[in-house]
Amino acid sequence: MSRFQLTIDSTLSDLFVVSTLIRGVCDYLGADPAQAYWVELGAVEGVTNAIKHAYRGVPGQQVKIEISFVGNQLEVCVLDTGLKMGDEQIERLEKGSRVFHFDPKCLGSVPESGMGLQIIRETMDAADYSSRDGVNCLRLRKTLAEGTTAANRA
Amino acid sequence: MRFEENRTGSILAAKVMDTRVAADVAPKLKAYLAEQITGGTRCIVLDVSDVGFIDSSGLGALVASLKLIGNDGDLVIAGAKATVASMFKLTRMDKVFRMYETTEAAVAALSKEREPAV
Repeated sequence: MSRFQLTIDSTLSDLFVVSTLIRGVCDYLGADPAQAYWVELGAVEGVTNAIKHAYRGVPGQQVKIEISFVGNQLEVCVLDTGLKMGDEQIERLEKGSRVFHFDPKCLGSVPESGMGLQIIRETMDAADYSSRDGVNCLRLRKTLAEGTTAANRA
Repeated sequence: MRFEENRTGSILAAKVMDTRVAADVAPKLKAYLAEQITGGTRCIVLDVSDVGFIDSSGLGALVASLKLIGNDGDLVIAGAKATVASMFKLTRMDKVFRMYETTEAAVAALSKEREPAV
């Protein structure tokens, strides 16, 4: 297994570093652009949630991103020590929400926020959330296509 | 965030000069579009051909702007790369925003709509 770690401050201005790392790992593994995009998106949405909700947007805390892969199985964990995700949000992650079930002709029903968890649910092969000893962990998993370099790595 | 602007009559074509529209810059996109709309621009083509990544915050900024422009205006998207277009499709925002392959196509379509009836 290969594993990389990145720790950023709880400030949105550091998001680009997360994107750069995820894209770099996906490029290294030979992931196709579409899959790489979803992995980057899932990680960015997870980190944004940690900053905005776990830490309430207050800088000076740490968000840790761990990326690991075995063969073509990629895993991204977003860890924080802030407020735990609420039961409603956990349920949305586990069971899905109807946030995209809007009437496009009725602009008032189109969401401006609250889309992140559903995006994660629809783009990742698996996503789960746990909280233990004050550390919250959002874990995302994606199986990359058979032809990627990742399939040849131990 | 940086934008490159071109006006054709009452249509503003604004090209996003950044490659990422994520949570860190989405408020700036929203503020820019709000400034244009409240300043009287009712027809905007947002060229995202340089944008390789957009997240839910970026989409949210666009939705807020579309709501602000209201029924008597247009905010359309031009030049979305495949990955960005797939994000619109995933979230069904491709049903909310009119999307064009190029800014030129968008401006032509909007100009035609704005031609006075004969």
